[in-house]
Amino acid sequence: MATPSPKPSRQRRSGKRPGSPGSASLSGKRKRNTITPCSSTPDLESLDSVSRSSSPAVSDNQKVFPFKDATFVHSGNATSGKKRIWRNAKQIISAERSLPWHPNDPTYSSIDAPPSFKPAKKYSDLSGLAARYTDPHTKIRYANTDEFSRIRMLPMDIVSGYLALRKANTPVP
Amino acid sequence: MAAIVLDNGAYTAKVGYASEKEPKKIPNCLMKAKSERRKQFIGNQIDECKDLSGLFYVLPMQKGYLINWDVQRQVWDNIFGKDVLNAKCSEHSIIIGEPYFNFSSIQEAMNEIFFEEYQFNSLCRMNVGTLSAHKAKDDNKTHLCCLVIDSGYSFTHITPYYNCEKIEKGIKRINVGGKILTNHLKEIISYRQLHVMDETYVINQVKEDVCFVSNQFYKDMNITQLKGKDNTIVKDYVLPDFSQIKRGYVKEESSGKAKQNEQIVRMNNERFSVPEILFHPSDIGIQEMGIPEAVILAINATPKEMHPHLYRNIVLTGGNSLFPGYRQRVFDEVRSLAPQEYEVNVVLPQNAITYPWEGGGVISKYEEFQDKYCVTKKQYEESGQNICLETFDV
Repeated sequence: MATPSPKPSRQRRSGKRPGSPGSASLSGKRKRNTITPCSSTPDLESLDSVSRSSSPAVSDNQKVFPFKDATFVHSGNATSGKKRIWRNAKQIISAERSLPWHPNDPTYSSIDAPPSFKPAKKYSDLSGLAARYTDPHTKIRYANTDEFSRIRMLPMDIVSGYLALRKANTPVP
Repeated sequence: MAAIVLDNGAYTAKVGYASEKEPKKIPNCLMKAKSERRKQFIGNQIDECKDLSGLFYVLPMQKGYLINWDVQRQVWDNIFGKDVLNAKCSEHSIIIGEPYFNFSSIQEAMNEIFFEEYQFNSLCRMNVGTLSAHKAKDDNKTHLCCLVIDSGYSFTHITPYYNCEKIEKGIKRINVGGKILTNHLKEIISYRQLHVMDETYVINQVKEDVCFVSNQFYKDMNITQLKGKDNTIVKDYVLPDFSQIKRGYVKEESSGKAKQNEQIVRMNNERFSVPEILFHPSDIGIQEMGIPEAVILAINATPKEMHPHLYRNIVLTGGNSLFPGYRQRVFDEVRSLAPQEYEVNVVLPQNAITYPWEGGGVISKYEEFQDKYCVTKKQYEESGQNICLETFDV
C-alpha cells in the first residue's frame, strides 16, 4: 500500500498542470468515496446501539439518553409562533400529479368519473323549459316564439352570460 | 378517556363525543355579514347574527380538501374551545373524517396540528365513507359489502366497500356537490328574475326548501309549461327581509303576485332541474357521468363475486341525499342499468348528514380501537409521521 501511494499523487500533480477537468473530477470522486463510508458506518453503529438499548429502556422511563436534549422545543410547536406558509390547491394537486404513479394506480386525478354516454338535456336558457330550438345567431336555446323575439333584443354581454351558465361560451373559430 | 368524533365537512363540521346520540353541526367557515362589517363570525357564532343578508363565507376547504389552515384553525379553536365542546384535548382521543386520496402534505399537517398544537392523546384519521361503512355494517350485520354514495358539498364520491375496507379501484368521483347546485340556482334566478348573486346563504335555504329530484323528468317539465291551477309544481318563495320575515318560506298560494312588503321568487322548473345536475352533470357543461352511471362503473371495477352484494346494499349519505325523491331516483336508474339477475336495494338512513359521524361512534366502541385504528401521542413523538402513514389508510 505504501509503494503505490506516492505514484498516483505524482501522477495527479503532473496531470494537474495542464488543468484537465477529468483529473479534477476523478480526485473529487475519490474524495467522496472515502468520506461516505467513514461517516455512515459510525452512524449505523450508533443507531444499532440505540435500538438495542431502547428496548429495555421502555420498561424504565428514567433512563436518560445522552443524545437527547432535555430543553429541546419542537419548531412546529404553537409556542414557536412562526407563521407557516401553506401551499394552495393548485400547487398541491400538481405536486401530487408529478409523483411517480403507476398508470393504473387510483389517485386524486384519476378517479374523476368519465364523460356520460347519455346526451345532455337541452333547456331554454331564458326560461329553463325544454328547448327544441337554437338561435343560429347567438347560439341561445329557446322553447317558443316569445322567447325568440326576446333573444333578438338581448345585448351581447347578457348573451355571453347565458352561455357561460352552461359553459357553452367557448370562442368558436 | 372519551373519544371525540369530528366529521370535518367542507360546509358543516359534525362534532361531538362518541357517547352522545347526536353531533353538533357547526358551519365550517368564517362568515362576514353586511350588517356588521367589523365583526367576523366563526363557526356557530353566526347564530347571534340577526341580519343574514349578503352573508360572505370564508371556507377552509377548496374542492373538498383542506387548504386554508388559518381559517380552519380558528374554527377548530371555536369547536374545541368553550363555545362548543369545552374539551381538554390532552385527555381525549379524536376520530376525524377526511376525503379520499387526501394529499400527503395535508395529511402530515393534520397529524402535526392535532398532536402538537391541540395535544390530543390519540388520533384516528379515516375516510368519511369508511366511517359510513362501519355504521352500515353495525346497522345490518348480514351484509358484507356496501356501496357508499356520499354526496356532499364539494363533490360526490361513490365507493365500494368490502368488510369496511374500501376497494380503491372502484372509487369514482363526480365533481358535483351542494355548492355547485346552490351556485347554479343563484345564477339562474339572477338571470331570470331577481339579482341574488350575493345571497348565497338565502339561496341555499331556497334550495333546501323547494328543490326536489324528479322521477318523471319530462312529464314534470310539461307540467311546468301549464298555466294557472294545472301547474302543480310552481311555488312562490317569499325571501326573508330580516326585519319582519326572519326566514324565507313557501307561499300557500302561488299566484305569482307579491304583497307590498314581500319579495318573491317564482320557482318553476328550477325546482327539479337544479338537482337534476347530480344525475346529468353534462346539462351544465360538466363532462362527467351522473350518479347512476358512475355506480355501475364503480361496481364493475370490483371482482365479479362482489357485484350482487354491492347492488344489494347501496347507502346514501351526505346533504344532497335529503332532496325528496333522491332515493327513488337512484334506485330506479340503477335498477334499469344493473343486470336483471341482481337484486338492487338503496338505503337512505334517517339522518344522512350525520351518518358518518355515527360511524365514528361505532368505531370508538370496538375493543381493538386504540390498538388498530389509533396513533397515540407517544407513538407520534417517537416515530413521527411514518407511524401515521402506516396506521391510517386514507
